[in-house]
Amino acid sequence: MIKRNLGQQIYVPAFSIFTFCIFWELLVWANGWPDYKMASPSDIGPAFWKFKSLFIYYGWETFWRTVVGLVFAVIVGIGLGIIMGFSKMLRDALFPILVGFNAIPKATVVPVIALMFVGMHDMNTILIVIFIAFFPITVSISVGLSTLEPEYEDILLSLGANKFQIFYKIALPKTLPEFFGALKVSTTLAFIGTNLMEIIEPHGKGLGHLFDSGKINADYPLMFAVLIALAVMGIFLFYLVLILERIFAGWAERS
Amino acid sequence: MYIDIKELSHKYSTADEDLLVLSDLSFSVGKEQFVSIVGPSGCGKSTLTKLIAGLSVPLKGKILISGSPVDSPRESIGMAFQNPVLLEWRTALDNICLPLEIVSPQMTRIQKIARATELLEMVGLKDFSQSRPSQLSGGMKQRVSLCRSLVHRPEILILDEPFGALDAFTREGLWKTLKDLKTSENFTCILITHDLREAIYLSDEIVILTDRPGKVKKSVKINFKRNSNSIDELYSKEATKMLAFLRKQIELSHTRL
Repeated sequence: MIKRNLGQQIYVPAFSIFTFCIFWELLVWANGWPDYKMASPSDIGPAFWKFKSLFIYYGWETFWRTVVGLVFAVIVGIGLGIIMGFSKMLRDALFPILVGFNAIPKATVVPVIALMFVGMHDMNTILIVIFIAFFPITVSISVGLSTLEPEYEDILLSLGANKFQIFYKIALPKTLPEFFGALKVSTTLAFIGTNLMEIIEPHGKGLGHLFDSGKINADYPLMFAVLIALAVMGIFLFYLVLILERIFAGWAERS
Repeated sequence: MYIDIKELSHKYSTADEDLLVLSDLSFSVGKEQFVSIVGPSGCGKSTLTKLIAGLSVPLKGKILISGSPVDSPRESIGMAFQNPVLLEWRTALDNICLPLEIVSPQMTRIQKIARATELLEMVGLKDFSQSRPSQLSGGMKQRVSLCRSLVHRPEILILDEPFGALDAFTREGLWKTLKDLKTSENFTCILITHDLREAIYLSDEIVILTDRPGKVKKSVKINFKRNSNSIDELYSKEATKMLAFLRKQIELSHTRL
């Protein structure tokens, strides 16, 4: 049921990416755009090759900060979600604050954080990732827990089960599909968080920094290459979440 | 008697009004008896199940089981509802094991599986033990739900309209299954239902409740002889007469339309 044709799972996305690149190349070629207007895949390849060691070094800097930030965002998101899912009063109290916080453009928060913790680049970046990525997780967990049908609880309560057993046996697994849905959104958001910090308050590390150097040196293919590298990392992390989802919430998938 | 319900009253409080759902309700159930509770909708039947299960505390009156008052949930009770509420992430077998994980944590997994398999066999779902709820039909889900409510060998089984959402033929199949389970598992059963034929087929006694606030309008013993477990018994003269009588009682208590 969960197993699908592996070939199809790999070939179809690979073919669609290939087609996308061909169209891109053709579009640039047909319009005769110079590479500072729109770099084409054939420009980007050499850019990658030329700066390959920098891509690996900075890519890793960006990647680990994003993943660490995401892990913390999951912890904070689940924690707040549990609190708001179980207590209606706290839900009413916290929701407006969280919505307000989430509505603030994170680009404006970056300088504030950078000033607040001068020089602590790793922590600042991770902090921004947490800020940008926790909200979808909080919403999904709190909605999942607060909409649990009372009969599910009755089944266990009538046997004398305690609150923790109900949470662990029923509420938690039941919200997993929602949680993974939110985690997919948060994963893509997390990269935005890392790069906001790296570009707005450059600390000389990460792909954001490489993007900035591309800008300063008018190396447009490099700038495009950074964007592609970010997309590739985003896709990689997204599929990692997808695999985790298959393992822990594969039951929710209907064949 | 085994279960004694004495002058039970209960109300729900909402922001602007208090709704009295049960008022001075009294009846008794003998050990290993099968009692059905029928009555117009909204007469507090489901509330009654929650009170017997110890999930809520009554406003007035008391419920005694073997002479001791019910003030909290107890392990000797099993419950099943109209909604089978199976856990989608567990197989049928693991769904049935769930109560054992709470009530008998000392049991080994092999013992739990053996007990669950025994029940699955009894309800005819031996081949579906590894199926997930999403792969089962409505009737099968309800069979699994019945197994789950009985797996920890409860002394009392409370069923709140368990077959209400099923089609007529599936329902008759489940009546038979429940009757078989009752014979082999020996429990006291309280069944809430809207289906008078179901009540006649399954019970030793039928308690008719009045419109809200519910109290006992009449209690009827099914004392005509039933020769077999066949559904055909429902079309005997006595059963038909009983059905007409019960119907009349319910109709008479309909004051609110």
